[in-house]
Amino acid sequence: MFTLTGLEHRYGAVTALRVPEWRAERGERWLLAGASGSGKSTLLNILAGLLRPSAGSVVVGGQDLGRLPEAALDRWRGRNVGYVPQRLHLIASLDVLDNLLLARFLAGLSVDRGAAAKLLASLGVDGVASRTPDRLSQGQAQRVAVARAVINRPALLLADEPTAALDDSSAQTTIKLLSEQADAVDATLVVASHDGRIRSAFARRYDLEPA
Amino acid sequence: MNLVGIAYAYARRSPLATVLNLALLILGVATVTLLVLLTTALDERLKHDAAGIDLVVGAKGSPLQLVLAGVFHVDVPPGNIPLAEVEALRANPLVRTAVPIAMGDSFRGYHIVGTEPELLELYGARVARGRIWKAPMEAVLGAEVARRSGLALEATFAGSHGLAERGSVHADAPYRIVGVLEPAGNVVDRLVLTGIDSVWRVHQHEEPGRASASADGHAREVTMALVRYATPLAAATLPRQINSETAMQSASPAYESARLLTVFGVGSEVLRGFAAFLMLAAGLGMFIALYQAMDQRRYDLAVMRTLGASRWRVCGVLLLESMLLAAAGATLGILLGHALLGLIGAWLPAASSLAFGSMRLLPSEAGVVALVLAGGILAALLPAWRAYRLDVAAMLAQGYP
Repeated sequence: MFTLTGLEHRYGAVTALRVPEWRAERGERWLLAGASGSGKSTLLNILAGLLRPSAGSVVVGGQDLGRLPEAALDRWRGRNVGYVPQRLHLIASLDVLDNLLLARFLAGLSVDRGAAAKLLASLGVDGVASRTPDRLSQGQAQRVAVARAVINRPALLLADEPTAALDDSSAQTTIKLLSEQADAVDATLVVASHDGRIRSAFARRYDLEPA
Repeated sequence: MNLVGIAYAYARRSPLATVLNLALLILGVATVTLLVLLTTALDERLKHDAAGIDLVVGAKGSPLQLVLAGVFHVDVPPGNIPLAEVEALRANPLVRTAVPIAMGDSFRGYHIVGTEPELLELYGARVARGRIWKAPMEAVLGAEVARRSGLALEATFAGSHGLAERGSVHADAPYRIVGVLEPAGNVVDRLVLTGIDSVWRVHQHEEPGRASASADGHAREVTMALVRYATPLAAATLPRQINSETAMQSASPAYESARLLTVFGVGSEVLRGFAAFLMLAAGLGMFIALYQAMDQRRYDLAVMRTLGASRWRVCGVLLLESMLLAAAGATLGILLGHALLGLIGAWLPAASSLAFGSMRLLPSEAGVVALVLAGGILAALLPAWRAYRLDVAAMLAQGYP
């Protein structure tokens, strides 16, 4: 599904990330492990096409991201990547349903309220469709953020430290949720985390060494 | 879900800031609109009132006063001239018409003008109801006088002495209304017309020399004469001829009103500067609001980038928001400006003739709208530039502050 080779990223003179090689196939679930500061977020940003690496190649779904010009990369990201940021970052000015529809709109896809409502229902949060994010519980907000990440049926689903602020049972629920949703759209799942509690949930793991 | 919807959602999210900025913008635009409307109306009124009149001939004094009194009816006349001189003017081949007018009294602030029916032609006025005056003490009301006083045909009224609102009343010599004029859109609407002999009769028993004549018919006097040239060439010679060869002086309404406008122009320049200042403040307010919004919204914009929005699109959201605010401010401001003019007209009778334009749009108002929209773009430029440059990866790595 994606292949990283000879990847390096530097901030100024400091090398923050080094990935000699990493291959993943469609539908696989990966844990991206490593201590704080090992470059997990940087790598996720590179996979999402938000950051261009200093060196090396990133091929996702047969597409060499390094060859895509800026605007095409934005369009590619909108249709192929679902991203669940650590702090969720739901848009506070829009209600839950509109947060989902925004993802459709910005990716240039048809804005279908019915389909978005159905997705919310499948995640058990259809009851809060017309609420603004500040009136959601942590669990509801996370489900909405996952719904927003998968509404465009991405090939790649990325999550950054999704369990950092959660208790044990919520952490397990969250990983289950991400796995189910990745399966539902046949996406490759990459969860960046240094949380030891969720290691057992992943068959595949890529360990980042401090560069 | 579209860009307008997103911009609207953000505007609604901080209603106080939005409303305050909008209010500031509306005030600025309304002030400018009001100024544009007023100066245009004033300019037109001066032109309309002086339309048929090439020259005013009256007693020596200030030419501006002559025009203000004889054409616009907003000042007292300088003095009297002998009727015989007006007759002499009429005989001059350069003169097509010379209409004598005699003033001195008023009715509820409207000048009572003793004149000849030719005056109606001069102003393009027509009788709407009744007929024109024939006998002494018959009066014809201008449209506005009739409307404001509520007097109908056959009603009688007494003139007040002098042109100020509170002169002594000539109760012994009442006028009878025999006609009402159609609205002419000029000063005639605000006059009470009657025969010259009516004015003489009212002042018969008073001290001689005051807008009147002695009863014996000799040395009859009028206040001034309104002249229309027979040929454009007259403009070159007739004024000088009158000024040097007679005891009278002439004044050109066109020239004097242009002079008046330059004086008034200074005031309107100051007001215009003030309005520009208001709009600048509104623009600055918009800039600050957008800049702060940009600060609070960096995360949202970063998320929009991860959802597939290009750099240009996130700029577009900010630009569009600013433009929507500017467009709303411009539209509401122009509406308010027109409404204010209407109100001014309703409250101040003296300004009612300026307010009839409150219902129409002027081409220069399109210029105001364009200026405001340009300001909207300008205010959004820096925030939009920051949105364009936003480092999404760094943004997402941070949490909320």
